Amino acid sequence: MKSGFYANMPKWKYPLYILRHPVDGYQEMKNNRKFSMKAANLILLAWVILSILNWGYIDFDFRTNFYEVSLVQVLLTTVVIFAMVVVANWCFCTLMDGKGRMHEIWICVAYALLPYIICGYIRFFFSFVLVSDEAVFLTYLVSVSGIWSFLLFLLGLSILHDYSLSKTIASFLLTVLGVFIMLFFAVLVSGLLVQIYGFFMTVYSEISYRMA
Amino acid sequence: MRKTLNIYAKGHMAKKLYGTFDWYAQRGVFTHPLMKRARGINMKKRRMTAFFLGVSMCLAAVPASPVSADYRYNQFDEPVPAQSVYVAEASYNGKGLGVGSFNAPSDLYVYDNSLIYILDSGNNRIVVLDDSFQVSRVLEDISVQGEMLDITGARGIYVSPAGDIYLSDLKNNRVLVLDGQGRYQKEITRPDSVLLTDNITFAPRNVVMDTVGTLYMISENSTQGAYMIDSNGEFLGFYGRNKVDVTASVVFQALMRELASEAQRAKMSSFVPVEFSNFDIDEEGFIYTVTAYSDAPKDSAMIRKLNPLGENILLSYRDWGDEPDGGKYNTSYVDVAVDDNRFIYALDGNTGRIFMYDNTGFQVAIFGGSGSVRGTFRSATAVDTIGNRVVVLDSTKNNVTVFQQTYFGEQIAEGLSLYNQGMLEESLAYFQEITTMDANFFYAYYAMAEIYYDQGEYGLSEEYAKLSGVATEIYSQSKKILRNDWLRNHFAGVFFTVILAALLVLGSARVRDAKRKDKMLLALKERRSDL
Repeated sequence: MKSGFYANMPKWKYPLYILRHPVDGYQEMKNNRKFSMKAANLILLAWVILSILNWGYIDFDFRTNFYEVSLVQVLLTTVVIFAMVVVANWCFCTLMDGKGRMHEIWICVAYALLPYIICGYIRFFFSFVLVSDEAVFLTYLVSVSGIWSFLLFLLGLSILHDYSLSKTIASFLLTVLGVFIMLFFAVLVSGLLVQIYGFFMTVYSEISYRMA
Repeated sequence: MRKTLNIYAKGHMAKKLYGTFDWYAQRGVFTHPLMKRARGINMKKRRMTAFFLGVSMCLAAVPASPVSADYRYNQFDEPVPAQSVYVAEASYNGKGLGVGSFNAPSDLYVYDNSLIYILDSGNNRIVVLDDSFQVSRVLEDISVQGEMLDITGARGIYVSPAGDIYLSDLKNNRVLVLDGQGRYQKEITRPDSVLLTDNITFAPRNVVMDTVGTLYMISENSTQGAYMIDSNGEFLGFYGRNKVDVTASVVFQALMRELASEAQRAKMSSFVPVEFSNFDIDEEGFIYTVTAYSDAPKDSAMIRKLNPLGENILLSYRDWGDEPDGGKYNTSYVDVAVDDNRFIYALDGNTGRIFMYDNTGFQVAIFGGSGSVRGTFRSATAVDTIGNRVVVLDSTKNNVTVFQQTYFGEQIAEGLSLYNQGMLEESLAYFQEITTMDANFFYAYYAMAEIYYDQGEYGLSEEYAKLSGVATEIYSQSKKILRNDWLRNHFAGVFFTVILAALLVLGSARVRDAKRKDKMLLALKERRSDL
C-alpha cells in the first residue's frame, strides 16, 4: 500500500488516480472514505454535455442523428439510465450482503464512466480534424474506452461491496435485470396513467356537454 | 464634415423643461437634419412611397408564383412546402371548347408536342386539340364497311410517330388502328403463337410503339409483362415483367413451398408480380413503366425505366410516391409521361397528385391534388406533356387541366438537365437561382457542392455540402483537402508545437517525481528527528 501521501490526496483527485491505478484507487477511496459527490455529479454533467455535443455540434460527417432532440430525451438516455443502474445495483447488492451504500455506489459508477467520457470528448474534438474515412480510429478509441469503463465498473463495485468474482458477475447480471424490470414498470405505469387521464378527461367532457 | 447635434449648446437648462418634449424642441432636435426621419406626416408619406416603389421593383425583378399547396420530400423524408414548378393555368371541358361535354374520357395523348388527342370514349369519339387548346378535329362516327365502330370500351389511345392512331379496345380485346384522318385501317387481335397458351388473356389496355415499329401492349390482369408484336403482327414475346417485391411474407412463403408436398403446393397461393399500370416511351426508345401498387415502394421500383432487355435502370433514392400515412402506402400510379428534358411525371390516381422526377430518380416536385378547384382532380386518369406544359385528364370532371411551367420550373429543368449531362459549370448559375427561390431544395446545394469540388473551390464545396444535409462524402473530401493544405502550409509550426508538448509532458513528470521525492525525504527526516 502506498504511503500517507495518498491518504492526504484531496477527494476530487481520486477519479484521476483511479484512471492510472484502478485497484489501488478504489481500495484507497473506500478505506480513506474519500467519496466526492461533487466530482461524480460533475462527471455526469460532462456526460450530458457530451451527448448534446455529439448530437448537434460534432463535425458534419460524424453526425448520426438529424432530428430534433429535446433536453428531456438527452437526460433520459444518460442520467436517468445511470440512476436506474445505481438503484438496481443497490437493490440487488443489499440482498447479496454488499457493503456499499447508495451514494457510494453512485460515486463509484460515475468514476467508472470517466474514461468513456474523456474519450468521447477526444472524439468530439478530433472530429473536426479527421475525415469520415479515418473515423475508424475514433470508433476504436471509443470502443476501447467503453470496455475500460465497463471493467472499471465491475472492479469498483466488487471492491466497494467486497465481492468475490462470481458474486460480482452475478450482481452485474442482476443489475441489468433490475434495469429492465424498472423500464418495464415505467412503460406500464405511464400507459396506465395515460388511460386514467383519458378516463377523467372523458368524464369531464361528458359532464360539460350535458351541462351546456 | 458631419453635422453633429449638441443639445446642450443653446443656453443653460431651464430646469422645469429639462428632458421634456419642449426642451428638446427648443434645442432644435426635431428639426435637425440628422433627425429627418422623425418629422411628421410628410416623412410618413415619403417612406410609404419609397416602400411601395421598392416592393414593386422587387416584384418586377422576379416573376411571382402564386401561393400553392405544392410540396416535396426533403432529405429527411419529411414533406416540406415547396416553390411551385408547375401552376394550373387553365382547364378545358368539352362544352367550353364547343364540341359538347366529354363523357368519362379515358385517355389522352400528345403527338409531336403539338396535338392533343383526347379519347372521349363515353361519346364514342376522339377530340383533337392543337397547342393553343382550340379544337382541331373531332373524329367520330368512324365506319368500318358500313358499320359504326364502337369505341366506348376503348381504354387507351396512342399516336405513332407516323401519325397513326392506336386505340386499345379493352371491351372487344383488340387494338384498332386508324390513320391520321381518322379512317379505319386495321385491327390487331390476339396473335397466333405457340407461346400463348389458353390461360394467357389478350386484353389490351395501353399501347406504345418503339422506333423500329414494334408495338408494346399492356394486357389487363396479365402477369407476364407487355406483349411485343412486331409490325407484321408476329408475336415476339413478353417485355418488362415486374419483379416480385421481396418482403418478409414472400420469403416465408418461399420457405414453406420448399417444405410442402406437391398436393399442398397446388393449394398454396403463389406470389405473382403486379402488372404495371401504364407506360410511356422517350425519344431514345426507353420505356418508363409505372405500377399501381406496392408493398415496399423503395425497393420495388414503382417507376421503372427499362432498357431493351426489360431490366430496370432507374435508381430509387427513397420511396416512390408519398410516404406512408399511418403505415399504409397511399400512392397508386395510373399514368406516366416523359418530357423532352427526360423528366418523369407520374400521376397518382388515388390523390390526383403528379410526382415529378428527374431522369436519375430524384424527386423534383409534387403538384396537383384532389378536390374541385382548378389544379385538383376528382379522378385523374391520364397525364402527358406538351412543350413546357403538363396536361392532365379528369374523367369525372370531364375536363383537361393545363399546368404551365413557372420561372422556377425553368431553372430546375435547365439546371438539372445540364447537370445530369455533366455540364457542371453551366448549371451552376441555375442552381444558385434555385436556392434563392427555394432554400429547401437540398439537391441544389448537393449539386453545387459537387460543382465547386470539381472546380477546386474546396471551402465553398464544404459549406454547401453541409447545407445540403446529406453530402457527407463531399464534405469529408473537401475537409481532407483543406486540412492537408493547411498542414502543408503550417508544417513548421505544428511540428514545433508537437515537440514542445512532448517535452513539457516528459519534463513535468520528472519535475513532479523530483518534488515528490523531496517531500518524502523531508517527511522521513522529520520522523527521524522526532525519534
